[in-house]
Amino acid sequence: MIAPEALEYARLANPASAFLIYAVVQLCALHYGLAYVRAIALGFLAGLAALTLGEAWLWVPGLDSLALTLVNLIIYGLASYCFCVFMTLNVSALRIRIMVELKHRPDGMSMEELLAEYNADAIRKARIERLLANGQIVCRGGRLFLARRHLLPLVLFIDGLRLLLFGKRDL
Amino acid sequence: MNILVLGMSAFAAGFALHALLSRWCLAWRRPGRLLLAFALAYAIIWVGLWTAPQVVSGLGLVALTSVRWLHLALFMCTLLAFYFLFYMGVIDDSPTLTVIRMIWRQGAKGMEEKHLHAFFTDERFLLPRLAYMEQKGMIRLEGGRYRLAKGGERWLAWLGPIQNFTRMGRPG
Repeated sequence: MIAPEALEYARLANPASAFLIYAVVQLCALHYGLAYVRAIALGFLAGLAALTLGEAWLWVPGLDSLALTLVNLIIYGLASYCFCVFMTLNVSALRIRIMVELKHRPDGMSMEELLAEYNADAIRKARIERLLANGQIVCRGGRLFLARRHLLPLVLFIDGLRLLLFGKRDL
Repeated sequence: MNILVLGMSAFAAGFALHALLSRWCLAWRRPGRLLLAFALAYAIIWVGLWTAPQVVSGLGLVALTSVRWLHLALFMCTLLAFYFLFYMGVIDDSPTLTVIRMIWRQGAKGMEEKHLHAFFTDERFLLPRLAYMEQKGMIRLEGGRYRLAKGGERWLAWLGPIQNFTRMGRPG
């Protein structure tokens, strides 16, 4: 039987330790060469499994305990999202990529050299190719169409938030 | 139950304050100001709860113990961190979501790729970032060539160990 106060501390530590498991598994998966998205999924599932086990072990019947489980799930989910965004910055953020490139070039880069590597055309082509490859969009008769709509709710949510915060959808 | 209700209420209060200030004044749309708006809302609620615990019991919630205060703080900080990062995506156009938005707005007739050229320009993507990095001391322009500056070295010193361990972020 766990003392009530110790139980409360354990409930507090549970999402934090689950998040640590997520981060460590994701980092190790990337280190051992697993594809980026798979590493995220593997880490997230490992952390979620740890969180679920912890919550089940520390479970006390009642509404308060249920609410605490919900809070811990939210903490874990949102902290994982933040870590995922931070890791993605390492891969795709233009500013980071430019700084890494300049670090490897002690003689620096001219604007022309930078534009040759990081121009808007290259960014556009890479996005279109990726969206075509994963079936989000299709090309028919030289025109692009939306094939899958699961990113659309996010787009509409962002548009709604912009409308609420700034009074317009397009910035 | 008290952590869930109080945490979500504090977040809603922070969001409402930020939305109000963003509509009122352009300067409040900067991400740094978002943190200030939330800090203000959080502080008011925190001090209110601390000085008047009868409010908590008045809401029908169990009084907060010291560990529950910690749990509430963790919950509020996580909500704020999430919203801060999400907000960066709201004000900074994600190229992928922009493509989806532009195609969706064209409806059943679809869209020619050339229409994306108007959005994907160096003036929108590369040049403002270079100007920002130069202004913040991450890079410097010397003799017509961009070089990594002290600020950039500090950034990479933070990110370097992670990039090396995960083998990500290498040029090429």
